[in-house]
Amino acid sequence: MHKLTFLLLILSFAIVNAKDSNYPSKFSVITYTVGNYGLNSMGEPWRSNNSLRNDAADSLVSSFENNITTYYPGTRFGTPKKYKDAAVTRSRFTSNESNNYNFVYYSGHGNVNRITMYPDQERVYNTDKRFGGKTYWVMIKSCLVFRNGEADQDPWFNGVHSILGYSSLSYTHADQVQIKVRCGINGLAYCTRTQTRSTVFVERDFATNWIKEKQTILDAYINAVYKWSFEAFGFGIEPKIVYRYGYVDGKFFDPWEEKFESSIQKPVFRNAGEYTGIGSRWCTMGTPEYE
Amino acid sequence: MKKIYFLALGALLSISHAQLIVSEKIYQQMDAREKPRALMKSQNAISQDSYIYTVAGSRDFKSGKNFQVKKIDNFHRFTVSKKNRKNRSIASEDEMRVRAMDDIKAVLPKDVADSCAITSVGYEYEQRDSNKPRVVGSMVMAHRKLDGIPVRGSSYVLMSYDSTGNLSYMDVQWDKYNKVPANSTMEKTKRNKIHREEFSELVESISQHLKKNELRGSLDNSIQTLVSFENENGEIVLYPSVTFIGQYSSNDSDESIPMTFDIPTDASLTPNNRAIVSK
Repeated sequence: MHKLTFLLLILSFAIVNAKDSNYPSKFSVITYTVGNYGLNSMGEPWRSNNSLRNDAADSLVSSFENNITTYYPGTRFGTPKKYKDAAVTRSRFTSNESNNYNFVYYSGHGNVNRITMYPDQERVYNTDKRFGGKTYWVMIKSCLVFRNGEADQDPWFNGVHSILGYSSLSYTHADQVQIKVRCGINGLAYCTRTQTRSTVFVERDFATNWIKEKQTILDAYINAVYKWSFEAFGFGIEPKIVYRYGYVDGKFFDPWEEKFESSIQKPVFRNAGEYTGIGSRWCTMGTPEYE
Repeated sequence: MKKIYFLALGALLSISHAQLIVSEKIYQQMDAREKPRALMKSQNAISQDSYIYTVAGSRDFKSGKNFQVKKIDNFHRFTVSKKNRKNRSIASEDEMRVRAMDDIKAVLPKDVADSCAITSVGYEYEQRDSNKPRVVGSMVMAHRKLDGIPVRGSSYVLMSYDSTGNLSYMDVQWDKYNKVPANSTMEKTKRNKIHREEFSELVESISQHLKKNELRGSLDNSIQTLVSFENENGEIVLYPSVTFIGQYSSNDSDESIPMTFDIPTDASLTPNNRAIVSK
């Protein structure tokens, strides 16, 4: 009888955990953010600065860590690597170091097919960097990198499943001017506006949606951008995901719908002939700007 | 090359204040609010009660026949059942607005649905290889109105429609408010004067901020709203307000970033200490 009870317990334990058996055994993230571009070779400020870009990386990493350690305790969360400002150089970004991390995040200025490093005029083009190795997902928080009708997305791919970015201008912003107004009896007291809004919540909510709430990577991203760029500030914007699609181990794989809990733990579609085609999805919110 | 900030007043009809241009339209709207058209002799003056709205927590929602509800942080996610789906496609913006309101009424309690106003419709596209993009989904946003006035607080409804044209999920953040009769403690002329003073201080404050950050901007329009403020007692209250709408950009760029600011029209309203209805 005891043996039977023991076997039943083992069986029920196995059934309970079978649902979670496809989740990643480990997860690591590396971030590159340029909040301060410093001065150009002529000693002049050459790009606008915004320290929120660095805050956004912190928000993403923190949310990843909180959600994974809480809801996927069986997933080992690797020590994150964060590069900021002067450490974000072209040579560093294009090196193979990022291949050792599952999720790569960049925030800084950008344009069609390129992102902007530190210092003056250092840029990384789509033909300079191919995401692969252990990198399965990338998020590029920059303007226009995947602009519809102009960008060439495919050179970025060497095994990465999908890259999140923007077709339009993107924004890094928080409530800046706080005002107090007179209120109360005879207007002798002061009231303050209550909302706390920041686009760094995009990164925070993306990780929560994807990890904890088990949304597809695209739904997780669009939901977060909609709430904290469009709804909060009214920014017209076009978040976009780009990918190669095809068959992995005989099963059709469309990377935009990849979920964390059942994500593929290897590079995909590295070489010609291994995939069916290239694809993208985007959402148009409000009136996006492109100049 | 830096642009010239001070523009001729003539055709533009605007007032320049250092880095910030304030459209004359805003002052015209202010005048209209302060001096509404006089009643015709045949009309009786109607006594208008005043109210404020105090926050009474967050609205809770429960799962229903065709949807599951889950609380996530400060909002609820409604996941709609895929059973009994209608066979339809993603439609035009006007049709999506109608469809979204129908779905809101079908899913949300009546008092919540009656307070919703659709504010935007966005579309999701897919492109494969060199084929033309096709519409594969839609996102619809609704915001709140109380007594017909837009609310600028934290309440919203975000709806996601998939490629079948059916509602896939809906995120709802909804504050509960108590509608409280209130009295103004300042005479109207003084309230208007303070409102204009607050606006002038706002313009100065924005101008200083823009100048410090080498930006330029404009305030272009205003609308009447209910806006949440924290009063001196730490309470969150919705006051009748005016929301000023504008934009700003850096000196060497045409990229425009929206900006909004809120100033109460009567923050001297104080409750009669009798909540009459929760909303």
